Amino acid sequence: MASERQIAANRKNARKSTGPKTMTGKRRARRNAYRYGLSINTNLAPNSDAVESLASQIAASSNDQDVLYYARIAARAHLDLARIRHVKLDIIERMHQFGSLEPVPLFRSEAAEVRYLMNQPLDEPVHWPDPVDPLGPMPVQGAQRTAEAVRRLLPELRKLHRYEARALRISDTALQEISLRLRLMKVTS
Amino acid sequence: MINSTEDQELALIYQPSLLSSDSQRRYNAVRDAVLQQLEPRDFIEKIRVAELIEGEWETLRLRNFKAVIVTAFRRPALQQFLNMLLPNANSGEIDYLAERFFTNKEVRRKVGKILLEAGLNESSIDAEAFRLSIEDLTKIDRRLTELGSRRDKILQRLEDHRAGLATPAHFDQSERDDSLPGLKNGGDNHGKRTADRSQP
Repeated sequence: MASERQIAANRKNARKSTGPKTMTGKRRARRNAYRYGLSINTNLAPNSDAVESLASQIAASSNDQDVLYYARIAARAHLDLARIRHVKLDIIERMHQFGSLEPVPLFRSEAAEVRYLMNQPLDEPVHWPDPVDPLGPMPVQGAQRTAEAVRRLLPELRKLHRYEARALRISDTALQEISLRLRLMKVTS
Repeated sequence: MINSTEDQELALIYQPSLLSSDSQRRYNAVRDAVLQQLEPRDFIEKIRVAELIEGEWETLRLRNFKAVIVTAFRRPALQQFLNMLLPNANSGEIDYLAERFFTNKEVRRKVGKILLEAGLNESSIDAEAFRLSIEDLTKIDRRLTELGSRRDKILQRLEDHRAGLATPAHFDQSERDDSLPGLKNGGDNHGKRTADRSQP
């Protein structure tokens, strides 16, 4: 058990870690949830057809309101999972195709761009160099190329896995509740 | 094996997350093997099994990627050795030797001799490749561990479900609200749930 002194120290330290302090930091953090848009509720209304259709199958024709309630939660979580996995596949395929998620820059820095332009002849159109790929070339072959795409995306995928874990947790909890209720109904009947 | 009459229902839950380089035939084989083994009896079990298939497929894919990633680092590993062993060679020569080492017998013999003089061999290249890729491998291993835990949990849940041992779960209120945004307005939990039930 923590002592009074430790608790006071923890509180003091916690006050130092209360998120961004500057306006720029706050503005940036405000948009964190919108990076993939996976933590916000989208066009899937609580009782949309897809949710209702899946929920009715999960509820196994039960009319019990609790079961239906949790079936809708599970259905939404399942559809969220499908959405998250679609995003995941999409970014891997994009990386596989282009070797990068962002446009590859032509120069390593603004100074390098200025230096390049200063050395161009004034009476000719500018001949732009080939883009600089900081990650190096992508392998040509299929499996190696996909593996390299996944390797480059590991930090991004980690973030997506957090959304996935959250949806899975919701689905799991809801299914457990349904399972329990269906069992109870069976026993009592 | 999947029954054709269940195709529509299964399409709803067994949506394969396949990359363009994945084999649909292999995925189907994995899916059918899991379905045959676990034989889901109701829709809840089917959803659990669908998650298990998804996790198993990702596990197989990542295990395969690990080997590919280490192999891909063999060339940079050799380049590092050659940079140390041939300090007077220019980068073009090093690149040439490192690239041809894996495809050209003559270059392989020449580079092998250089490595041998320094007490190195192909195993040293593999070890260096492993060292260079260790950070990525660690991240992949972490994901594999997560998938393994998830698989065990799903199997446990299936067993509990079949034995009628499901225990009440406790929802995190914030997650519950996020799941059903229509429930956000209202009083206590009971009130919120009642409000939802009234919706069509």
